[in-house]
Amino acid sequence: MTVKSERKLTTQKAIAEAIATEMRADDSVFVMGEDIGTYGGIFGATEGLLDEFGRERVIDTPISETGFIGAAIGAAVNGMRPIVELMFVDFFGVCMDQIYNNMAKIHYFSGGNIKVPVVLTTAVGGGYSDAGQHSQTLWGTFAHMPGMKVVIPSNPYDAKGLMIAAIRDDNPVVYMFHKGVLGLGWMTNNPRATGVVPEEPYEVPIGKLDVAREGSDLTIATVGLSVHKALDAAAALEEKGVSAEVLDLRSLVPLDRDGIIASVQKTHRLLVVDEDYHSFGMSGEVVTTVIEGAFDYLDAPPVRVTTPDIPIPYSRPLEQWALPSMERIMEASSNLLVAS
Amino acid sequence: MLVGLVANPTSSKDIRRLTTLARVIDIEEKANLVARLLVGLATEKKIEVTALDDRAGLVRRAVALAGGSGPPVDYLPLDVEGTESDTRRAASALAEMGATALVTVGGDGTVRAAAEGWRSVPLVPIGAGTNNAFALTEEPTVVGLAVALAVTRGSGAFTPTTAVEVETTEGWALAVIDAVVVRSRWVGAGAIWEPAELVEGVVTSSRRTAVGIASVSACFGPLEPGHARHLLFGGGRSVRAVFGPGLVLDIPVEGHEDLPLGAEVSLVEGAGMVALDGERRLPSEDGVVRVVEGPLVIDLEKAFRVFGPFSAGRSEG
Amino acid sequence: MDIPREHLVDMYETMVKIRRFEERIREFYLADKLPAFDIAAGLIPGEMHLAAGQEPVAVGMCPHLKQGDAITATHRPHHVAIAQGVDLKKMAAEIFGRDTGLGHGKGGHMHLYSVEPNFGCSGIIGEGIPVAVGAAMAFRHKGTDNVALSFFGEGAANQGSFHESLNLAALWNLPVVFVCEDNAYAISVPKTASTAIADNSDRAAAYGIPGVLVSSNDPVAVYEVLGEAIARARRGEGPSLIEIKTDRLWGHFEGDADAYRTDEFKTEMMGRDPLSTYAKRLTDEGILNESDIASIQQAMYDEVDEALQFAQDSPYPEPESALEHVFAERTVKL
Repeated sequence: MTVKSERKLTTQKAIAEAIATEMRADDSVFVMGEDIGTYGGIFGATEGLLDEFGRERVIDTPISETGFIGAAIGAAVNGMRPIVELMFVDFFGVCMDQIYNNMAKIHYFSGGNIKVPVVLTTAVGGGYSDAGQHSQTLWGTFAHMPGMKVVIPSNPYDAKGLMIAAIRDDNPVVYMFHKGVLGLGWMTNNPRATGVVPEEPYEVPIGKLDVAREGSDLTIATVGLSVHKALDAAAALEEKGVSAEVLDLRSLVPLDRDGIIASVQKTHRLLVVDEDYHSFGMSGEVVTTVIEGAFDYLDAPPVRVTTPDIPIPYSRPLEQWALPSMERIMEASSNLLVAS
Repeated sequence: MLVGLVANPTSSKDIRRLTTLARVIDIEEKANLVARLLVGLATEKKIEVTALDDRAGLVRRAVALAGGSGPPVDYLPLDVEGTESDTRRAASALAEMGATALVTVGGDGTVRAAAEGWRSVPLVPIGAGTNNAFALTEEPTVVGLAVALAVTRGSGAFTPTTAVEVETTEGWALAVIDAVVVRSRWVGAGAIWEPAELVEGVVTSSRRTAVGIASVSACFGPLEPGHARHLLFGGGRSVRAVFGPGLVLDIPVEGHEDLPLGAEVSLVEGAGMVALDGERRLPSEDGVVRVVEGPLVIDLEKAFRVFGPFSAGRSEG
Repeated sequence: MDIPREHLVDMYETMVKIRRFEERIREFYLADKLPAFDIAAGLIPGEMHLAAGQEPVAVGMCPHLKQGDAITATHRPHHVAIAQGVDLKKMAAEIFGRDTGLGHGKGGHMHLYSVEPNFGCSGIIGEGIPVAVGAAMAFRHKGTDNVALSFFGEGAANQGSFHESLNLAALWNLPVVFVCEDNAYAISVPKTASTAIADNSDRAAAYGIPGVLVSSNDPVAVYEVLGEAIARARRGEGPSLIEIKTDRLWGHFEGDADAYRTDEFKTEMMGRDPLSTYAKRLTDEGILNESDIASIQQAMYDEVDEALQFAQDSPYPEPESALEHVFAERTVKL
């Protein structure tokens, strides 16, 4: 009998391991971004890579997002597979043209003749008082624009598998890692940020959701740190006799609409938790998917727990109130079950 | 007393930035040089400046930089084309206006164009070019001061030079340092930097401290005043010369002959182009080179020696 | 420095081809939009930015390129694409929005992409400059001596991407040649109203790279300067910035009344049309005679006409094909 070693990693270390794995296998993979080399990434996503691969393949850049993201595109078009980090998603404003107008469109404009295998990694999310320009998620904005895949892992296993899949994908993939799921020693402890991660390479398919918890009374669909909060809420609801199914969407582009619909066909009630801004985003998209695809299955109008359309405030009571919480999820779930 | 000023925004930006270690002297830097010159000129209240209103507003910028410390500056009513014809026409106009000196800020090409426009121009060439074989490299404030002394107290500080005149089927031109035949048939990017291209040349300078063809000439000893040296390139024997900034080359020279004023040389048949002061200019067909009198150039030491040093507190009304 | 006759003639031929292409595209573009200009009407709808007068900037590089060299260009791309040797038929078809075009009609005039030769252009000012930096990174990684050239206008030199790219290329000593086509106007805004300094070549010093100013719209001058810049980059000596004063003979876009440039300016400009001045130089030098010029013209006109006929004869893409080519199929397997 073989004892399977259950090695655990934090999400952050899983990401770094995934990148290292692919860099060993394929010489054309390289990493570029601010503080990703010597520092190992502000959020540790590239920890250890410089020591193993050296400065030719792990490149610390100046503060020139347009310049180095554009360079990543040029390298990708010419046979490389770059992983380029936008330190905080909130910084996309200084370089969005390269991302949504260039990286995302070259394949299309070229009629499919040119591929742009870029992985754009970026840190998202709030809840630790980093205020309005360092706490956003913005996946709705990125998912809205055609031509780039968007993935958001919530746990170490998916983080590694999605990163390997993203690197091997021949398309631009925006890989958004929520700071709260990374398991960083300098952030508030999160038990769900550590988990079993196989040592060998493996992929998690892009475009397929994960049923993080099976249930029958309602579907809670969400991404990122909110998956943890939803799981916590589901555990608490269980004690009250409510069986909540938690869907970790994992990809927003492509969105696993069939998976969402299948779940609602079973549970007949939908709650979407979205840490991004309330209006014109992911939560509206998921709700509409279900309206369009499973209207007759709904026993109640879908509800959502989101961040209101406000800049994320600094002061703890303000921020904690604004962002989705376990308590808000539980309350919304209870209301959903009562409604008809 | 009128002092003319022509500053060239285009000098020291040519292909030699790639083929030698020459650096760009940008417009800001040139404006700064001119501003310092203006302050020097203003030490004599009688001096007024008339300048070419160059395409880059370089002189205007200098005037602004010098502020109240500069002399009054007027601009020539010329249509500026942004080419060397601006320099030539400005020099002619200043000659007609009775300017007592012409300050140029640029390279050897700038000086050449000025001399073409005004054959006996009393030149004050401030170096802002690639080789600056002809130009002064002293602090412009000091140069301005010397000019102020020289023009207000007599013209004895300007010494004559020798130039070469080139006549071909395409036209006439003047070179202040050298006229060199090269194998290329194209003006192209102008500059020359490959020894293999050189056929023959007539050069007016053999200063050991010069750069370019003059540096080649210097290998054959000093030149008598009023003489130029005819060089035939090629053959087995080479001399080592500083051909450009950071460019030390072995130049093959077959023969050389010193020529007096008035001497004429017929250029080798079917060779290529004549480069004037380092820039390709005229096809060399039926080309004749003549040693002639060149412009006058200020001698700074003379200016200070003859006319006395500047004394603080003593200014001419 | 002695220029092979073949190079001189090739450059002339390409200039003729470019000019003819631009003239004919202009004819097609305007034909079915007038008298009351409707931008959406006709065989070539949308915007059109033509490069008549700017031919020297593009052809000067041709004899120095090698296979695999990457070029990024702007919303005014035709002269550069033609000079690099992009398939003329597929390019024309793309401009006409046909399925046989470079991008199956998905890109159009401002988004022309070719794999071989390695060419791309963009409708966003300054967008292609960092991409050239990236191409150079790939060449260095692979150990080839390929170079990347980025073409952009004097207006783009005030965009952040220009400055970021020069800094990156200089910092990492990459084989990029930055080519600034100065046609003095960014749409209607003259350079004197947009740029704090007179010469963009002066900006090179701010990044520690050589800057060269080519003052005349002369293909031979461009040939010599780009030749040195490209050779330098291939030798691993790093990037350079080449500023070339050129003439945009027509308006910013077709349909532009071009009222912001004086008639005097335009007449003067037309008077130094590089096509005429270069032809005269070639005949004066005995490189080509009148009959050579005529047969070159004929050959180039035929090639252009053939490409345009191919475009017109090509089918439009199926409407639903708009959904294709957003994403590529996976090639890297588990």
